[in-house]
Amino acid sequence: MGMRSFILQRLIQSVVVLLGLSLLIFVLVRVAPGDPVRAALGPRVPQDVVDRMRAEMMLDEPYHIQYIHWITRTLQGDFGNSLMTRRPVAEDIKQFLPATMELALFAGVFMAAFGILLGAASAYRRNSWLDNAIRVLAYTGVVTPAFVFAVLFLLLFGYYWHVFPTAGRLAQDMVAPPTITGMVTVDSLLTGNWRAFVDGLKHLVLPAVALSMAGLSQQARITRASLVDNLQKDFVLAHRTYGLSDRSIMLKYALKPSLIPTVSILGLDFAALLSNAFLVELIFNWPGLSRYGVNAILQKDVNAVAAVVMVLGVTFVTVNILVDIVVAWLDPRIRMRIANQGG
Amino acid sequence: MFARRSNRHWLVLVLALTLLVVAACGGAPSNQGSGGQDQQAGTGSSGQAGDGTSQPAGRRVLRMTHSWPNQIDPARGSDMASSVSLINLYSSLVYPTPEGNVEPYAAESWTVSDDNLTYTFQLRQGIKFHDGREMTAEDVKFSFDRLMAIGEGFAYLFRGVVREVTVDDTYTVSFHLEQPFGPFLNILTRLYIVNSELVKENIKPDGPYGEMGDYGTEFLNVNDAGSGAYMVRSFDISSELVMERFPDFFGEVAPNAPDEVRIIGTTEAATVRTWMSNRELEISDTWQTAEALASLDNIPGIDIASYLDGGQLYLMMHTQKPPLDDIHVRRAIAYLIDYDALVQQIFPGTEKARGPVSRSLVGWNPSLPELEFSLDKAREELAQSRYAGQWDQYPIEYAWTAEVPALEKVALMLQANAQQVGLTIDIVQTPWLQLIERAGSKESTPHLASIFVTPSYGEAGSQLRARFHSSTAGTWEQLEWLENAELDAMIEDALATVDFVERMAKYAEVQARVVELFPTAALYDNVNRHAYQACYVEWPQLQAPIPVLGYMQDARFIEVFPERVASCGN
Repeated sequence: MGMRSFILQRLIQSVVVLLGLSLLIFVLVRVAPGDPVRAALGPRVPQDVVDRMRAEMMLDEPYHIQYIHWITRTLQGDFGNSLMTRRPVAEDIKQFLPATMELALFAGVFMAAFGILLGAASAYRRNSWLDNAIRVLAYTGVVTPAFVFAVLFLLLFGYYWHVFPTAGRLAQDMVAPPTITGMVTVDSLLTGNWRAFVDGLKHLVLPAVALSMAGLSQQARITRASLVDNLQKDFVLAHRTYGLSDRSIMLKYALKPSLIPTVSILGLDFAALLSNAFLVELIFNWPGLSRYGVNAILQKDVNAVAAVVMVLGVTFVTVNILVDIVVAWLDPRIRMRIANQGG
Repeated sequence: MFARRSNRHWLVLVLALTLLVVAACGGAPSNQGSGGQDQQAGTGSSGQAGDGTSQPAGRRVLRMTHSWPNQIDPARGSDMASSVSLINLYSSLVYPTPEGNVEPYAAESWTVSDDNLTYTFQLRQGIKFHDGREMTAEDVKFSFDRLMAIGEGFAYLFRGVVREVTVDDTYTVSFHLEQPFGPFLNILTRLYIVNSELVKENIKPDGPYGEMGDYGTEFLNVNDAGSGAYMVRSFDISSELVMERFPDFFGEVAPNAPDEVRIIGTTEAATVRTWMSNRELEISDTWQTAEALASLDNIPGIDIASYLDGGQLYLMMHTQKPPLDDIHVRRAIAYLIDYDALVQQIFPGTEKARGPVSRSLVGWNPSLPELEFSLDKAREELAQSRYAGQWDQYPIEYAWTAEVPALEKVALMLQANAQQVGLTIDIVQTPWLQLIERAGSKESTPHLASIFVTPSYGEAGSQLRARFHSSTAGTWEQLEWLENAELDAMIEDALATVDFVERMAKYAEVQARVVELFPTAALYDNVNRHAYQACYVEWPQLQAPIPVLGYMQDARFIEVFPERVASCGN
């Protein structure tokens, strides 16, 4: 089996996973107690108005009819209307997803860069005070929820030292760049609006760093463990006997295979970024999809909840396929195993 | 083993990367900007302004946090955030006063027919909508018809009250009532007038309202069509409404009223505290805990504003379910609540209730007694009950609303005190939506539930009808299932009384009768509490609060003095 077949197989598996997810979330949001339309319209709206909206949303139909209707429309990109925002959910996602993606991408890059760097430094200086300090920090980062960092950073850098802005994506009086991707920093770059770019970047720092801390710590720990393991292997000893410098061995021979577990876990960490983003978005008033999704859950906005879960599901699956490809690229043993399976 | 070189290389690398990020992004938040309209949806915004102070140079900004979502369509919104938005974006025919009456607003005068069934309003001439078009009687009729067709928001106030609205001439409009309704002018404060032409231009043909298509709901979901003191500049539907002053507004505006009003959708305590401390937020939401408010109160320049909002927390008692169908048991339960602890510890800042209507509502009966905590009196009442000695056969279920954790404390207090007099109370945590469903039938309604009810307009009649008239039995507003024909007649008679003084007297009688029937224990009169920047914000409504949801935050009366920010202290 070649790489192409491997990717095809992963895609087919992903479709099955997403179908299962769609069924699960569809049922879950509907069996939860309480009438979603009543929740949206408020307790004083007369019952006939509630019934009319239930009929409009087909909520008075049997579940299987509702599901067939919903999945058919979803496949066409129509998630129905949101009870919360009173407009097509697709429009909401188009507005809120770029903000979350921008936050998650920035956090992801920060997480990967600093996680690997700290892990490598820790392994390279094993059992030194630097190693011990990084390990303590990494443990702290893993066990501390993102919102604690968010509140901490907000208080430190927004309240005590006014270093970074604490809310939103741009300053109040900053002219936002025209929407191209929906990501402020990217759109400002594309339109050459440097002031907006710098301002957007400033607004990203605190929420993105707060969001990345758990993943960063995990990456550092995994990279360290893997690198320590590889540095004790025979091929490293062989390179050393050839007279190669420690730095060459580290950068050319030990680091690449040590990154395989790190990259493998990166997909999961990226998904965790999306799901952990809610409180960070709330604390920094970041108008993203995670915050929208949790508000939708609280308001029992059935269409919005289902759509957000599906969008996050698709993102998660896509990232994991990409990670599988990168891991296969990094590790020749995996490529050989894939080829052998086909033979 | 690798040689133990200096760790400096690694430290330098980590520090260099960190500095790179900080250098690229850090420094004091510089926000020099030209101002202007947001071009990109969903950007949100930070509080810092162009000159590095908390207020943009040359502009007065009022920022308020609120719970979300915020519906700015006047045919849909009715909660706190929506009410504040609608009041600032739209105008109504009349405006509520602190005394519980109304004063002319878009209408300059009105007359009432002899049979009290027709109210005819003369509009002020020259009122402009935000697009410059003049308001006419057609707009009033259109707004009413649209509200009733959609049926959401404040439409429930007019159902069964108004038969139709007719246009007499360009500036004259008449409301024809089904029957005389004393507080009619009060409910008119909730009819927000939309620009009918603008809405018609933006109607989508596909919609549930026949030839009116979607009735402009998609358009008014994120835009305004009003004539209020402020107009929508941008609306990020998930987090922030930005409004700017309408220069051609017809009504009164304070000299230092804000040029810009921002309603921000968060109640997160750490965020609110940071913004308040940085002078990036002028008025906090009412959802801050007592601890959070105490902490904010310690910041120089910040005060806590308190005002009665007309609502009460009730302990509703199912009057048709044994053993609560016996008035002695209901009275005994009322004696089991420590009201002092309630208003001082569980809900600090609130005030002890006196009767089933808040003292802030016009028509409140001040002669009614406060409820008291007395285990001895509870025992005396229980001894008179026909269920005496059989309490183990009649466990009492107390459903507390899961979304309000403090209510569990009330339930636990009652349970503990009930045990001392031999009553068994089972506490059940119930999600709000489930409680609404349970209220739908006598069988599923719990014995006891504590529910907060606010009036729809600033008059006792609003609360009395919602809470005790048979038409609301089976809804969340009346879990008591009182269904008392005599009381219904008294409430209907009071509401149909057009003479103000006479109506108030009848309200007082109704309240006294409710206390005699004892279907409920009013636990406290609710007080709304906000932290606000007293050092540079003047909030005159606090001197004479209007107990109608949202009107305390009519921004045109609030004054902002950016030049005083520097002297607020830290």
